[in-house]
Amino acid sequence: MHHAEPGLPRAGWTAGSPGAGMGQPSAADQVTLLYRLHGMDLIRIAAVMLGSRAAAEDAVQDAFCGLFRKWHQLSDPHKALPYVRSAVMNRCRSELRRRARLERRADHNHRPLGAESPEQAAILGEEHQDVLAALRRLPDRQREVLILRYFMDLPEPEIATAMGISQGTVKSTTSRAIAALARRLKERS
Amino acid sequence: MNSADERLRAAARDAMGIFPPDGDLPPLRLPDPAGGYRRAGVRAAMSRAGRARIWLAPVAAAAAVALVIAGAAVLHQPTSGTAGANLAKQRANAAAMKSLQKQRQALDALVVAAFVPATGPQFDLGAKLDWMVQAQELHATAKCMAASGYHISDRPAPFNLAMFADNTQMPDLPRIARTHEFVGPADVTSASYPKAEQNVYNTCHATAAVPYQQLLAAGQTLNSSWWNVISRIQASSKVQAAIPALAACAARYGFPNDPYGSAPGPIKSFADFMDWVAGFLDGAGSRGASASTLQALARHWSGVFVTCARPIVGVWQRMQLAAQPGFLNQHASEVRRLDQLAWQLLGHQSR
Repeated sequence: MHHAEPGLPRAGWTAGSPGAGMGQPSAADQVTLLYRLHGMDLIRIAAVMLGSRAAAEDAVQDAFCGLFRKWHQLSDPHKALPYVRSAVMNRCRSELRRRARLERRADHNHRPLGAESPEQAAILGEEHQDVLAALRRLPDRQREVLILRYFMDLPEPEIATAMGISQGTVKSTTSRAIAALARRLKERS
Repeated sequence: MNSADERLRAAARDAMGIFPPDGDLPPLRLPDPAGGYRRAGVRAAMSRAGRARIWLAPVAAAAAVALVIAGAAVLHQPTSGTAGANLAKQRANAAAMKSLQKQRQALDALVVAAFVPATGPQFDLGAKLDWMVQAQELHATAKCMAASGYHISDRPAPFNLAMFADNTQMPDLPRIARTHEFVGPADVTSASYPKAEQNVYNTCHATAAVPYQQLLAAGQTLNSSWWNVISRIQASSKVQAAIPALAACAARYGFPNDPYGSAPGPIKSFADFMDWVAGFLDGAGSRGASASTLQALARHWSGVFVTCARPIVGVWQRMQLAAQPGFLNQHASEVRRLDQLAWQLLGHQSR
């Protein structure tokens, strides 16, 4: 079943908006509207994934630029939000992969490069730092499923679409992720 | 203590307060489509031969550089007075030139494997570039620390492929079949060091890493674009058509039996399959299974993974291999720049 996305610039496809030629809003108008409606939600999940507001804003900016470039290829405007959501996840994965690469390089003789930056620590309050740290140590897919579910409040079908997996796998991955998170939190305490 | 679920919900409420849906958004800066299309137009208008020449340019440039170096060497040879000696020197120079050219080509191949891999084995090969950078940085860090009176070994840890594996999108099936190393790297544990020594290390390492940042950042940009191609291919209808066979293979090995006791959904993607197989190892690990049990499980499930994954991975690898030259053509200038940077930074190490 197709889920209509709340707040999608649906009217924009037929109603037109000021400044757009031929009575139709431009791609820039529609992408900007989508950004205004959902940008902060996406920055939130990217910030939790990346531990940095600046990196999160970059990832979301890049994803919307990608959507803008592909706008004319979208067969259905309702696919815009799932597309950009997946794009943000992909960019976060890519950034984490880059960081993992850097961390591996920094790990000679098991020497850490240092603690998280003050900005990373400020993403959430002190009392939630353990949760964030444990979340970041989960395997990618477990972390993503929890972030989409808890920090974006997405229903299972939409998590499945964003991650390219079945709803059944969303269920099983979520239960594994919760178990793994509980274990890591226990280890830390 | 609150459950993990409750603590996650509390953290999410906090995040909602810090990043409210109606919070201050930074301005969205969209690219100029005209510029983008113009560039695409130029690319589209370029002939196949022209594109091929661009891609061949790095190799040609490498050969030219090698020729220049060898030529210079010949010019600087003192004349011996005997034709036989000259001939021997010319032969030696020719051999050196050929060897240099081969080394450069090998490094170029490593750059492609590191940032634009089309197969699992290529992905694994590319990891060596990271390792080479790592070795250089360690050497420079050790030298810098020695100047401050701290001594660390400048010998890098042996190259460990399992540290780099990506079994979801770039599984190296021959390696998994051979080594049974199926799971990703273990958590990195960091030893603590005296603060002063750690500070010196951090400073020295940060300085040592600077020369390589340009190479890695440029490579990452190219890698991100290539990963979009990979994701599209792996979500394509051709690859999806191989899912039923993957699901049938999993059923032969017990699917939907699940080590966590929860009923998994049907296998609709490679990631579903991967999650199911990985669950047997994760599950045993989290229940504190012994090393020998885990080893036996890894042996069994890596075999299942390779057997079931081979057809679908074969489909997408063929498509990725077919897409790779076109992508490299499209990004020829970036690749050439990466080749040049890699040669400047790592060329002496590959010799």
